[in-house]
Amino acid sequence: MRTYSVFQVTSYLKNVIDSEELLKNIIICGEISNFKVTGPNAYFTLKDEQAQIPCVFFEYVPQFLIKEGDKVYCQGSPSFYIRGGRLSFIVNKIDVAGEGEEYLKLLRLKEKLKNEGLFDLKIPFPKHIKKIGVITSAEGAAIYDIISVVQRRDKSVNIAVYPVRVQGIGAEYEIVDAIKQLENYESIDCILVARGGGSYEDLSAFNTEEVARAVAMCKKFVVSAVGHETDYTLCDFSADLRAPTPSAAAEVLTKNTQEIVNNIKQKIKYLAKSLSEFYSYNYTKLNYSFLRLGSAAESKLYRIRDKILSKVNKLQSISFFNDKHNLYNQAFSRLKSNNPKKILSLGYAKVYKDGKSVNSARDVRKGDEVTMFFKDGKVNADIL
Amino acid sequence: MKFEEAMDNLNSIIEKLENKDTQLDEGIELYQKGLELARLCLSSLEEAKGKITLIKKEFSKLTEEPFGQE
Repeated sequence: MRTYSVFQVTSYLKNVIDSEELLKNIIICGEISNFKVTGPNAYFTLKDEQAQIPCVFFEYVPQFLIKEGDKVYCQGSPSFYIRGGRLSFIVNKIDVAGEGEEYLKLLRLKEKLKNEGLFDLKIPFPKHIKKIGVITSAEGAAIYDIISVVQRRDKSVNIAVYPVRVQGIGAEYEIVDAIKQLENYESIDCILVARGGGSYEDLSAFNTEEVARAVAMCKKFVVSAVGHETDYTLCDFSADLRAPTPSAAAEVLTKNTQEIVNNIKQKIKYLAKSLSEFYSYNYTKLNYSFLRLGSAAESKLYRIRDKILSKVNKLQSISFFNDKHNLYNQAFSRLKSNNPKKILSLGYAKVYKDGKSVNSARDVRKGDEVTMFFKDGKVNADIL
Repeated sequence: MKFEEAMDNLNSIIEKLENKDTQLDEGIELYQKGLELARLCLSSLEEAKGKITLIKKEFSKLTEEPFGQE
């Protein structure tokens, strides 16, 4: 008989458990016991009438209140912890059980569709959205929320409502038919499947395989906004984009035109500023030429300068730009930003020697006496 | 001219005005053209009015009518 070290046995156990395909990514249903959050991780035990298993949820982010005795579905894989010598179920997702079997069926369906790659079929966000096709109830609050958000943000966007029943027997078939109709309806740039909040059963049409498939396979960009922020349906997973609420979906699908209007107004101001800078640049350049050239060329230069001056005068007569006050303000703020006091206020000091500004280390020698001006006063200093 | 095209032209005019090598005579012309484009953009934004319609399926053909008229 062979003898092994503790480490050898526990390592072997870990290997066996980690490599067991049947135990990878499974869902365990049980009751919560001893739920504790320590640091970023949550520790608890899952129990049923015959057995229990310790569980660890690393980087646990609370999504709902978990109480002792709650029936939950934990998704994850078991692993053997060598140092502690015990087996734990490493959880990566907890779902509170809804309607027991019904909920488990939904989780299985979700898993099946996910493995098929149905949730990976994504279409890129359309460039220009001029018309949104909304599949929802014509009577519900959702459509009015969508209309009001779209109109507030961008009045130019059209909305075409495809009315369907969003709950009750057969609602899923109406939704699927609507998706198929709008998919081939030329004028629509994207589809928004929406429903306001409701109970788990109220949202069930959006949890059907039929709706999930139609949404995923749709050739047009589909946004899903079903229920409240905390509700996730299969429709959400198979859509190209999930929005937490119908209003949020309307927001995502529109641009804020007020922002664009402000941007254009800004551009108009900038246009005037650029023109003013353009001419003052040329004017300064010309004046400089006056200084350098002799009188021979003077008369010719005067003519060019007058030409520019007349442009400037013409410019000032144009509306929008004829805002002298604005020009004055621009000049004043430029002057202000160059004020030496402003520079001193940043903590710099200006150095003078014999009343002259010292601009270089080479301007002073050992033994020189200098005066340093700070923002709040001056001091005399000797160069060492 | 479409809104997007007008915006692109407006941006290139601003760039030209910023370029100090632009001919003197062009300055005011560019500015006026820029203003026109900016006004065009603003009015196309302010005047645009989207429609809200209700889609109806009649004999497997879709038709639209104004929303909220039933």
